[in-house]
Amino acid sequence: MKKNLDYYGLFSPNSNWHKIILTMKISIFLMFYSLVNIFAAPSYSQSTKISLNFKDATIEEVLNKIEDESEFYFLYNQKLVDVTRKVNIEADKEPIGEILSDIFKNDIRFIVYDRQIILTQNDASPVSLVLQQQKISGTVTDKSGSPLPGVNVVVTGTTQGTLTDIAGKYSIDVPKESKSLSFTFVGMEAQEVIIGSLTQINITMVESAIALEEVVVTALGIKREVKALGFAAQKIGENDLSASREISITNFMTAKVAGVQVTKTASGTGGSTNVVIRGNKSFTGSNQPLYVVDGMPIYNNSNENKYNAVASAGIDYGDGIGGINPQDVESMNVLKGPAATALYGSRGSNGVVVITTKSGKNAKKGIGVEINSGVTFEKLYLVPKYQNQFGSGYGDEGYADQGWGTDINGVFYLWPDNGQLDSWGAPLDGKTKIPNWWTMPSPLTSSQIWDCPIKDVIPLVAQPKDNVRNFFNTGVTYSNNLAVTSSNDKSSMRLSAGSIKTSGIVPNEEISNKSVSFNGTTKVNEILSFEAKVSYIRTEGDQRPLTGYSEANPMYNLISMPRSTPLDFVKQQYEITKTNIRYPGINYNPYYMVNEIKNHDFKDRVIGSASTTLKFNSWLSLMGRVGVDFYSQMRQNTWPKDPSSKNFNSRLGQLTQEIGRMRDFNADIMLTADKKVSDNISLNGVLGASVRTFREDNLSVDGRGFKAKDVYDISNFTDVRTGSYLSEKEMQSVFFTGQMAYKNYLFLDVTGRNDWSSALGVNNQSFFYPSVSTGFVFTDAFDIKNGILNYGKVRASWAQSGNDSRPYMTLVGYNLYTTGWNGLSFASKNGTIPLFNLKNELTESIEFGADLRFLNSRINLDLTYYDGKTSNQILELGISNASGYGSQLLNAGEVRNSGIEATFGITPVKSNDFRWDINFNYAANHSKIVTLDGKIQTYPLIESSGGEPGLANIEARVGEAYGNIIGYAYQRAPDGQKIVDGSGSYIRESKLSVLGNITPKWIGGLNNTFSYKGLSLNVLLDFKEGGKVISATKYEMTRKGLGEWTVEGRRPKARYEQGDVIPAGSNVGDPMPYTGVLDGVVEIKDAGGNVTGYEKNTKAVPGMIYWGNRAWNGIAEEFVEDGSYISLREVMLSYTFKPSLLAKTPISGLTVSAFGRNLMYLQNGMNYIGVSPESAPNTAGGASGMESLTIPSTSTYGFNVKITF
Amino acid sequence: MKNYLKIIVAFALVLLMSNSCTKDFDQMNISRSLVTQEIVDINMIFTKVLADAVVNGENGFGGVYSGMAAANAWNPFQTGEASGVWDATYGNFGRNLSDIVDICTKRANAADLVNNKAIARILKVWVFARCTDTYGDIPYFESCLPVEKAITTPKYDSQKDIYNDLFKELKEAVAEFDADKASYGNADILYNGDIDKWKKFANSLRLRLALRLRYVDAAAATAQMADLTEADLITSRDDDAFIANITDYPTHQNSLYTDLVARQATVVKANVGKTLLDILNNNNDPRLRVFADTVKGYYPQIPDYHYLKYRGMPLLTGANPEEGYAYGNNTVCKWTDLFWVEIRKFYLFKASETYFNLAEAALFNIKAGDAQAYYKKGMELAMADTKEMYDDAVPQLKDVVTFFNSGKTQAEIDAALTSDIAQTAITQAQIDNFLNTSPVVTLTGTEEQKLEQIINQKMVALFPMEHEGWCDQRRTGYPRILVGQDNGPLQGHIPRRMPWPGSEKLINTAQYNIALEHIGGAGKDERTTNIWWEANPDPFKVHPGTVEKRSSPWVSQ
Repeated sequence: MKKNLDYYGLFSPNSNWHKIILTMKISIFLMFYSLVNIFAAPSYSQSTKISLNFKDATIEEVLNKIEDESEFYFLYNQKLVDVTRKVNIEADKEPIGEILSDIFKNDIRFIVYDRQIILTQNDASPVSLVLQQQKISGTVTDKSGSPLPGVNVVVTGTTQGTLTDIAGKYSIDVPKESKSLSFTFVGMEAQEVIIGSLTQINITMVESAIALEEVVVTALGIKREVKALGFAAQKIGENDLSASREISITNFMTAKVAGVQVTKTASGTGGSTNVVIRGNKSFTGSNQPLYVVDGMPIYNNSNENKYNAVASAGIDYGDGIGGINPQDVESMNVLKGPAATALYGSRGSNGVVVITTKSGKNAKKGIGVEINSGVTFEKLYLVPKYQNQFGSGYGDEGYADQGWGTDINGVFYLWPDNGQLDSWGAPLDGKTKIPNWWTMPSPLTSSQIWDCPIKDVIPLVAQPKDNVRNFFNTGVTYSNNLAVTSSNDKSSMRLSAGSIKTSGIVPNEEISNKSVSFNGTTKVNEILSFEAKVSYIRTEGDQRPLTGYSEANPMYNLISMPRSTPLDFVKQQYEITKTNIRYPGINYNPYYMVNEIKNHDFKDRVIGSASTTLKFNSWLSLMGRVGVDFYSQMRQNTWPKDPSSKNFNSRLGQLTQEIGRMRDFNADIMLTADKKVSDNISLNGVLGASVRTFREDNLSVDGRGFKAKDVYDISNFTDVRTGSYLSEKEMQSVFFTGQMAYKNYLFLDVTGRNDWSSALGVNNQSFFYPSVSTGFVFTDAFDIKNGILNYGKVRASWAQSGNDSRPYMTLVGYNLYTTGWNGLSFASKNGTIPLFNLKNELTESIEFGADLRFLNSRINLDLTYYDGKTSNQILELGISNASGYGSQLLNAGEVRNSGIEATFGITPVKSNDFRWDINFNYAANHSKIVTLDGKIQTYPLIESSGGEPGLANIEARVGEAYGNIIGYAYQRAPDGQKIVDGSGSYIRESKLSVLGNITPKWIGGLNNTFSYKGLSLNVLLDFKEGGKVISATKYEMTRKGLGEWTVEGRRPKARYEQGDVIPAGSNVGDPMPYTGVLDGVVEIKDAGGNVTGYEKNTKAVPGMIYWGNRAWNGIAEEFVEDGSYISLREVMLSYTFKPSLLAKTPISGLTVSAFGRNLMYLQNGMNYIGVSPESAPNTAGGASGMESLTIPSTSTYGFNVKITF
Repeated sequence: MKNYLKIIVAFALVLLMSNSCTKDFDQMNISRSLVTQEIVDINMIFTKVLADAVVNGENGFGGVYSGMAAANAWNPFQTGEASGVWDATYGNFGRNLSDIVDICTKRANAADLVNNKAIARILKVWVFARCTDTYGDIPYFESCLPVEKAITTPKYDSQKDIYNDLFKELKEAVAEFDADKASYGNADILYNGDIDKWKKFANSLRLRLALRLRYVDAAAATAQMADLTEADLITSRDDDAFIANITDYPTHQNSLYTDLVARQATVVKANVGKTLLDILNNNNDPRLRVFADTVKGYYPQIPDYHYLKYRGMPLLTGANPEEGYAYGNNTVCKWTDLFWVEIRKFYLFKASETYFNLAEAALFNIKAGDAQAYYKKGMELAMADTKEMYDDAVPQLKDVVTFFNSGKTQAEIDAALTSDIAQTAITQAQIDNFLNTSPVVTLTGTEEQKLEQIINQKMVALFPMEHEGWCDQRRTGYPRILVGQDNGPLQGHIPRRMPWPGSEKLINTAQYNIALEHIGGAGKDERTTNIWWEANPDPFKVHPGTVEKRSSPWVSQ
């Protein structure tokens, strides 16, 4: 009953639904009832009338004609339905039913199911007349439990069979001796079930791993069969998207799509994701792909400030794609090369991720309700590894830095420095006695903690090894989504409301994302149809963590705190004083940072689009579409008045507030023709035009110095500065695409697009780029039908793709300031030399590929080779500032990316109930900087010069791969041994050199899926081989003697060991000898200072020379780490209840799943530091090679329930 | 089909919408905030350069190479680049001043802008002189050209050529002034558009730069000074080139005051350098009280240490902890509260310097004159400067003392204020007495001893213009600076220059390498390499004192 329910049936008095569910459905539904009613109209089959005139034609010809003339399509088994029979037919605007009755008389039964017409034998058909039969019946459903109509059910080895009806039910008489039944359906795995003594066989059909007729959404929303494509496109379907909860849909691509590198930035739960397809191409522009949702590009303002990486920290407010509700996504399709993306124009030059959202179109008839509810827990995984044996101080002894101290009961005790004291001191063995700083005097006798009397003496010991974990929380994310669908023959709609609420691992971090989406389509009649959708998304964030070298990044403090400092006390110190005052062992108080330095942001975003299609006739249609992505946002940062801060603004109190808007408007119009011009040739073409206008503006205020304490309103500040920003850009385009298909095995595609961008020089606004691609299914062409190779296709393409620039790069102006001098204004000449004749960048690429399937598609192999170059790069080149200018804009430089991609799928086990699929993908990209501007040899991608020395830059160097790590190497003797200088420490080379490259040798993923009946287990491994990372965490922990690795070579005994305390005013005892002798050689010099040879180093030095000097001397080589990893990315266990189990409930589908993500590294070159190699601080081009005091990496565990009604 | 006409019309509208956007298409890339060279107000550029160059320029206590200050937290003899002056010269002052000259040449009313142009040229000389004095050979002729002629990899010019051009610029600029034409008016926050004062500034600057060349090219020094008479120079304190702080933004206040407002009692004052303190203390100079506090700390074993009263800080490198113990916090003098007042004056040129320069020129027969008379006149003016500093500060002192004593009672604050005013007081009687009786007012001994006297007093007068102090110290070796143990490459010697910024090596490689060859090739881009005008055969004068050492730390009071 319920399965057949159309929406009129909702009010059936005979409804046997549970009342609660009924009430719920009605109430949810009533809201939209009237809406749907507007769309409601007689069903397609009743309203469609067809005219035909055939003489002596085969039934097949007639059916083909009907398919061409209407939206009907036929499902039938050729073995059962004789379509070669000749018929005569003359029909003038007759309903389909009458026509079919005429054709088939009583031989064939037909079932009209929306646009789907199932042909099946009539029971009286002579073919099925067999003696001694038994009756077998059952239901065929898909994985979600929905009935599958039109499934071919055939007695194996015979021509005897039937089709399932609308409810997925079948009933078949089979001869007694029959062994098994075969079930086949387009796009589904064929199944064979042993009959035995069964009289009822219910089966669940699953989608083919790679369905031959798989349809993907290509450029401009054009749906194409994969078979016809001349380029690589990889789809992530609902199966991949359904069960595990991801906050950003970009993470679904991780390790699943060949050639796509997905890195979550190390900026907390709500941060951006770095997605690079086929290597980095652009130096200054974005390397992120374009995201297109249902044909409309959306704005993805990811955190790409290249200077954010190290020098100054920033807050990652997340990217545009992260706001899309994953529950609304039906499939994602990754278009990688220019041939695939050429029609998207300049924004698609880094690849395009085409996202199709769920709509009511594919939903079952009537009303459907889907509830998805999940919870995930985020737990710390990798935390920097501390040594826990040595305390603060220098020279392997002592505790103090500057000789501060205090008298307690007549004995003099040293203080530690109150600043960033390094940990090269005495062993934390309890033998050194220190004043007991770790009890907060209460009540405080002075506002100056220093003045409070300390009376106790305690032994100096280490804190528990993993105490830093206690600073962080377990993150919890609740996600809930409710979707209602309704559809009938004419109209469909889907309404979805979702909420994702996260409390992050960093204390006070709260991020929420609420969204409501509506999607409706209606077909007014055969000619006119509408589609419209709108999503409203509200994102809110509090206390998003700061990254990089900033005192407000809690890791900045936590990785440099002496190991003797109790974290409990640090917390207590903050809670009592509410200040960030320096204190022995506390440089900056991380609790103060996360509690007092606040940030808050919200964004209200609306993404909407509407399209209209006019279908003039069977082959010509016109589509018009407008879409807008709009948001308004507020970002606020506050610093309380804190006299103890080193930061100037914090001392006075500060508020910064930024209010901004963004509008990305796109409109296009497309005329589509699709015609079969002869038996063998069909043509398909699109002619279109589009316009995009983009506008972003903001107004910012910066107030410093409270009038009244802690009132965060701009009117309450004495020094107020304002700023404004406006960016506008427009692009107009015309484009065409044409495809010719010959005999459905040879395909040729041609595209061309001309863009006019307002951001380019006035003489160079227009640029054109074409593409050609071809696909050839040779197995069809040569009719290869052997048992081994069942499908084979080769493809080739050549394409160009242009890219424009940020606006306002063509003219030079003056900066005006909101501050001045006693009423006089300030102006200053801008320091960038503009390029008046700015041109577009151009990517040109060739691609070859093959798609081979063996053993009835149980083994699939897809190979792609590509070679592309991006030239005329728009570079903002840093020039000698002695020129008077800081940078110059240029059209120069060429970067080349070539590589191979492979996906390999195999199904080793496949039986009725159990199935094991393995999918492996592999991609190796090789990049090379061919030229820059001819004068310079290197272009900085990430600069660390504003940050700490010893760290390196990431640059693009001519002749080398994108993303070289440039820094100082060890100075080495000719035989490669490190040179040790007279003081016993390593020294660096005098010249900068290349220390490695951030680009991985290859990346890949291995996905294993085991399914047994409704149970499915998915295990995903993610590989990255090669690619260096420069680790700021290692640098800091080496510099300060806190890394676990810095234990080696330290002196085992303390200078003060004998007496525990130093009697006032005297030197105590002789120090123990140093033990650390660096492995290396010392130069032997003659009288003239020339090096004549080398001898082994024997000089013993303290730990700070042994280790710390590597950082202090800026030997970046020491901090370049292997970023290879094998990650157990995801394990997911899900169970889909059999429909039969749910038969007595109102629930039509129920799936529960448990999953874990980022569970562990099976291999991680940086494990010994305790950081993840995937700790990119932002999404700038070179950022993946930079680890910058990252907050600990996490693993997530979660549960999810999906219920459909 | 008629029914769908509406729809087709709607489609047409969509197309029209896109067409309607095109009318501004070509204009769209002109930012609404764009201010072009045609319309920019040069006054605004000029005000900004002055404010940045003078107020936010050189005003700190980092003048460790001139004896004015002492370093206690950082190593004064470290190697490596120091790109601050370079970046400010090219990234702000040079570009903007060149641009003003460019605009004054290009605009239709160029004839009315001659004074603006001349003033920009003069200030540009000051900017580039400071840069070449810091780094030696620098890009000059190919630098800061108009944007359409910009040279992205400018060649380095020799300091000699640069100096010749600086002299030429100063002479031409002075000649260019036209009293009938307007100037910057109140946008000129240095001289309020007074072209006569700018002429004097230009001439005084020429005197200063000419004297720099005394050791390397006495003839050039003589030639450049020959045409300058006292009337052409800044000889009156009324003509001093200075900008006083203002209060409209915290960033325009004296930065020490802003810091004090924020940090209040937690402010840690800087130590007074031993060189400066000894020069004042040894001569019973009344200015001592204005500049330095008395010592507040003591050692546990030597309670009398408290009565050291005036003790300066030598330059320590941290190489020897025992030296560090001997100069613990509060055992050396700190700057007085007077330096923390909200409004202070920041100088480009003082009249006293003119006289010290003339005195040295006269002493060495570079320019005729009475060295002793000039020297004494310089001291008189310097004394007046200090008295003015005290007089200006006293009314503002209550504010400062209140902040320094935050948390204390009003009575305690009042007592501290009274004590402060009395402790730092300098009277005309004291000054007169000093000028009349102190032996230091009379130049005595050999020429070299007289030179030391002149430079020592000039340093006190210049204070805190650290750049000028460093130039004199490098040139003459005076004042003598006491340096602690230094094991580094500089061996405790005052650096002769700053290395070129590392970025030049990377992105202006070819020109950098040529410049490097000019100064001796690999290994010469260091702090130990002399610049052209450093031609004194004996620049490292030994300080007679020794750095004290102690074997244990001190204890806080």
